[in-house]
Amino acid sequence: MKLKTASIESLDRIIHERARLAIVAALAAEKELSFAELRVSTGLTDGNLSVQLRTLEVAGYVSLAKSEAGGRKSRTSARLTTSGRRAFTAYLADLDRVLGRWRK
Amino acid sequence: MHPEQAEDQVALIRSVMERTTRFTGLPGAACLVAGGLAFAAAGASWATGATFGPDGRHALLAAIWGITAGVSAVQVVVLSILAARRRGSPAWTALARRVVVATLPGLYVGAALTEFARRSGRHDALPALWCLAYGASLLGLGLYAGWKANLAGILFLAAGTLALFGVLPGGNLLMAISFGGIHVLLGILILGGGSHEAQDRVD
Repeated sequence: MKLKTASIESLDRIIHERARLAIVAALAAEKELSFAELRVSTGLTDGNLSVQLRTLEVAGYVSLAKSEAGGRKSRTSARLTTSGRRAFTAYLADLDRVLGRWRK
Repeated sequence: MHPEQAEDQVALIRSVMERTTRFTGLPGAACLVAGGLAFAAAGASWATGATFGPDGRHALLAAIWGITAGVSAVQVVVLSILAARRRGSPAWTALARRVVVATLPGLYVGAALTEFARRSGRHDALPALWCLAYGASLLGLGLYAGWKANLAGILFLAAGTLALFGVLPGGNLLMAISFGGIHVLLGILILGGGSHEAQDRVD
């Protein structure tokens, strides 16, 4: 079965984790999403979403911006950075390689 | 990574991307109210003698259906905002903006054809033309909202086409069948499917 598996070291560990993968996938589909939209898209809890977004921001994959929402509490929005989009594309290529090898 | 895990990751990516780009902001209740308003307007038109025929009190007819369209649009907006608040998500998103833009061409065509029919005295053709324009508009919504809006759009197009060529009756009866009945059907379909599809939680 060794032939059918990819080296885990070659994978982007930041994106590989499912909660972060969901966030990155959502942001790949929409240029910019608010915190609330991301919560609906990913199904993550507020706490987990905050933590994972912070991890992605520290990794340089996501940029976060805060804006005032009409005098009420501030609105946080997120978007993929260029390196985040590149990492997501590379991760998709890794998945494609694993599945391609399996189907041969 | 095992292939099975890779397949799981691909499935997750697909489901999240679909959910992100699918519009679920139209509440079924708003469609039911829109249908109810159309039934009421058709009844009021019939009761007051405001018809699409040549001697049909057209000013009154325009007032009844104009007010109905306005109230209907406002309640859709209000109920959509309330539904979004209940979900804890904003109503006016980038996706919602694209949905509105996608529905505008059909509505514009409807407005232009209305003015043309009015000037040329073809009030009798208005219900069929409205069905066609509104059906096209719903198909624009269906690009983002999925099969329920598409089905409603196709039913409007079919009703409009059949009425335009005399297969279906026109006038207030067509308005009741289409803007009343199809909206109620759409509302039932949306409510029957739940407010959202079950979400795969990833945490």
